Amino acid sequence: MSNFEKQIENYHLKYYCKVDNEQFIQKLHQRVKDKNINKYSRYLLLLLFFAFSLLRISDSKNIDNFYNDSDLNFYSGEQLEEYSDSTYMNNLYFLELEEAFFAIGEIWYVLEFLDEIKIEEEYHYENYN
Amino acid sequence: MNEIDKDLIMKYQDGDINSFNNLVLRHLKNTIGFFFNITNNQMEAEDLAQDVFVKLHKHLKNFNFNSKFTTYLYRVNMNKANTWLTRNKWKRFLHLDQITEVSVPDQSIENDWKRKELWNAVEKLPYKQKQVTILRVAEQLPFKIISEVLEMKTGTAKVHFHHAVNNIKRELK
Repeated sequence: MSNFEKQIENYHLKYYCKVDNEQFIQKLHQRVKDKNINKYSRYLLLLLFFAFSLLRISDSKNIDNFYNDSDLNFYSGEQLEEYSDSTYMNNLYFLELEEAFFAIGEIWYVLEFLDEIKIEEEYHYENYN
Repeated sequence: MNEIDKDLIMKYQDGDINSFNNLVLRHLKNTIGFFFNITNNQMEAEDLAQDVFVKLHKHLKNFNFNSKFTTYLYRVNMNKANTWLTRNKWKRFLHLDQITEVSVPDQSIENDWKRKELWNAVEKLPYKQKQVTILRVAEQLPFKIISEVLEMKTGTAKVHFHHAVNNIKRELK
């Protein structure tokens, strides 16, 4: 055995500090109890998380809930009607239709008028693009 | 296996918690002493010993007496020490180990420093060398028992220790 090996082995410390046995045992059992409580709360949390995830998944599969979620679909539903320029233009278009119904009164004229509007609309968009 | 240990474990397995307490008290001083050698800190050594006995509280219920209880205890201690050394590496890296430690009064600061350097070097050793060194230095076990704990031949344990010493020497230069 080399000197260095002996030197390393001599780094061993003789432990002579006094330990309060009673306190150590008490603390140990408290720790065991805490560990068990932590274990059960961890299981409970996992169970809650699992249940919550299941609920979220089943909710997301429902198409109505998907469109009702205003955060996910900002550009649909009420937000779209309020903030989009194109919906504003659509509203004007429907107002014009209403006026036509009341002003003309005759169903065939109305249909002709609708047809004309439709053609005009398409023509307008083609030129626009 | 020591008959007293065996008897206490069997009683504990039958539900006698006092037997477990007695078993703890029988091995308490050695276990804290082992961790004190590595940490050089009374509080930390007690804390690590608590961790070990909490583990035993759970696993001794299924202990099947294939090996000696002391062999089993050395192994648990060594694994815990290994984890502590690895965790402490990050503490050293983050300079969290500069907190004043409670050390025994008759030790010189130089010895404390050397011991710290030694365990820093041990932490960097390959796994098997580290295991043998921990048991040899902190527990002062003979190679025969080390080989039983680590399930290797006595000669292999000696070779691992020899390589470990050379590596530590190189590291401390």
